[in-house]
Amino acid sequence: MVRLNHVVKIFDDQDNLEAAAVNDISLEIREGEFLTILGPSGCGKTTTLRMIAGFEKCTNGDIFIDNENVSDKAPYERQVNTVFQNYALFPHMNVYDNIAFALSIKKAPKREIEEKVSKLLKTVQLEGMENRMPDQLSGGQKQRVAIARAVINNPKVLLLDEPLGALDQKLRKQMQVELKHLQQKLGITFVFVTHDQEEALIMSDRICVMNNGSIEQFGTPDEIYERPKTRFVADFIGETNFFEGIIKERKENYSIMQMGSLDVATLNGVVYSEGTTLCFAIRPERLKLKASPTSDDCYIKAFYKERIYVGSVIKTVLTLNNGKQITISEASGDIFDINASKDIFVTWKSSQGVVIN
Amino acid sequence: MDLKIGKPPFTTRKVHKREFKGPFAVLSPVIVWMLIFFVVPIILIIIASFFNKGDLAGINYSSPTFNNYISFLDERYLKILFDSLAISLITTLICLFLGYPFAYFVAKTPKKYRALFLMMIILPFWTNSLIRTYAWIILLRTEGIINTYLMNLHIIKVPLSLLYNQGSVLLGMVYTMFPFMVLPLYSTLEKLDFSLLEAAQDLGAKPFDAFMRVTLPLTKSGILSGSLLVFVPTLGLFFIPDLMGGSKITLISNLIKNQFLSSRNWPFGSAISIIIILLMFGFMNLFTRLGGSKDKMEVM
Repeated sequence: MVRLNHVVKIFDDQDNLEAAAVNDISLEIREGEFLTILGPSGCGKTTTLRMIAGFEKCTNGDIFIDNENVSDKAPYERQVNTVFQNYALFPHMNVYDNIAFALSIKKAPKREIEEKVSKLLKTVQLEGMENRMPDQLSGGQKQRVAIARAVINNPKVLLLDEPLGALDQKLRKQMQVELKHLQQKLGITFVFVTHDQEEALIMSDRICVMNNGSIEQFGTPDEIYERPKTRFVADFIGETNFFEGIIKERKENYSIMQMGSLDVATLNGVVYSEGTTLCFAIRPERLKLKASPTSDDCYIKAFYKERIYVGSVIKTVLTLNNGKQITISEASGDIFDINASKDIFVTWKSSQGVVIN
Repeated sequence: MDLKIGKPPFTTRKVHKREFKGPFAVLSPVIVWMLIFFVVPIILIIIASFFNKGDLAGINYSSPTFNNYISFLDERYLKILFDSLAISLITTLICLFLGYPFAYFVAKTPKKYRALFLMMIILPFWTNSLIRTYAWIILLRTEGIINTYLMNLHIIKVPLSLLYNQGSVLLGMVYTMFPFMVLPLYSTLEKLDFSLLEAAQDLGAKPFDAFMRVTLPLTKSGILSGSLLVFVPTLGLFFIPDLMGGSKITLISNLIKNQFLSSRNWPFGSAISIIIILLMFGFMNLFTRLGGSKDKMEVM
């Protein structure tokens, strides 16, 4: 559907011409999927989106839409539409004219415009709002108008640039689900840009995690969450505990990693040679507190520091021998009694950790 | 339970009194100024326009008359009026077509350069416009700088008549009024959200369509206030046709000036002034209506 082939973007007015805003990205977007480009601000995700839309020219590389190289085409020649971060609704036009804009530019017959606009108004649940001006709409309504306006021309791809950023928490949650449903209903490929990892996990079919202009990892939400490939991904998405250390001893089926004065037996059947420096990531909810570990547990002794009540879960912060902190989250109904025993062990199953290079 | 309700720190009435006095105190110098130097003179002119001219000069208050207005309905005067309106209109249009791209360009340049470009527009204001008009004369006249150079370079044999025609009057008008067009245009263009143009292009509008459907309607208020700021004063600018138009060009502003200074017919001059003022009101009304009920006139 959309293919980015070694795309590079360097801005002319950049202070540092060496650092590319987007640095050699290759990416294939499948037809009908909900793809999220996720990353912190300044990672190049919006620039990538703007290059697909045609607002920015690639410094290098090519962009294909439906196997056609569109790198040199203007935005109005590309069959993609954008929902802008600030919606960019035309303030001098009412809801109807905003939505009808693309068709009236094409000089479509009035009947057709009317039909399509009223159908879309129904789809985005804005019936009866035709004559409102944009400044009379709430954030959520503006958002819907922006989406309706962008999809009226049946684009091959809909690009969404942090469209939920301006909404309050509750509306945001609601729109996340609505947007996902809308995408399924319309059957259009969505490319969604956000810095909100939770949003990305909830909505996407696949997530492309970007950092410093490069792709860190590209995969399904559970791949990204459960098996992060880089330290950045593990850290950026959800909460993670990192264990860093050097492989001290190589055994037949596992290795022993040394973290300071601690030895951690780990690593899901994968064997590393001695001396390798590794980072090992494990999610707080995969960790369990026990008074004494069982034989198949991996474990570290830890000292209680504090508990944080979050609601659905309770987080427990513990300190390790080497001074590092570790966070564990437990379901509210199932909490380890920290006063029950003298020693506390943080335990996990060897398959639950992920080794990161 | 023992509930104590304290007195509010001060009553609402006091607050109201304070609020009312403030604006009046601030405005009163302006009000007094306007009364003495604007309202009273206008009333005097209105009164003068309904009487006959005095024997030597001044006004003969013995018998009120409409003659001043009636005598304006003469073919010669009406022609001057239409010429003046035409020159004002053409000046406005030229300023608009030159000023819009310029203001657009300035609004799109990075912030640090904008001040420089705006300075280029504002700087000439620091010199008296009469002096700047004389500078044009030095450039344009038969033995002027342009003609001398062209002759020396053998591009022309006979000096061009660059001065004392309609063209030179237009040139002077456009030159003088240009900033009044650019500044309001700049202030609306600067506020224009350029992501709207991206949105328009994204939705299939070619740059020209995007301009016509988005930029133009959204900068209408700037166009209208700029046009008004050029059109109205141009109608009253008498020294430019005087200096650059020579004796051939008489505009309504010259006519009024002549009534007061050379012909010593103050009542007739007053009558023409009133007619012009009424015309201006008409135009202002028209312009505001063109701006739509929602957009108020935005002057800088």
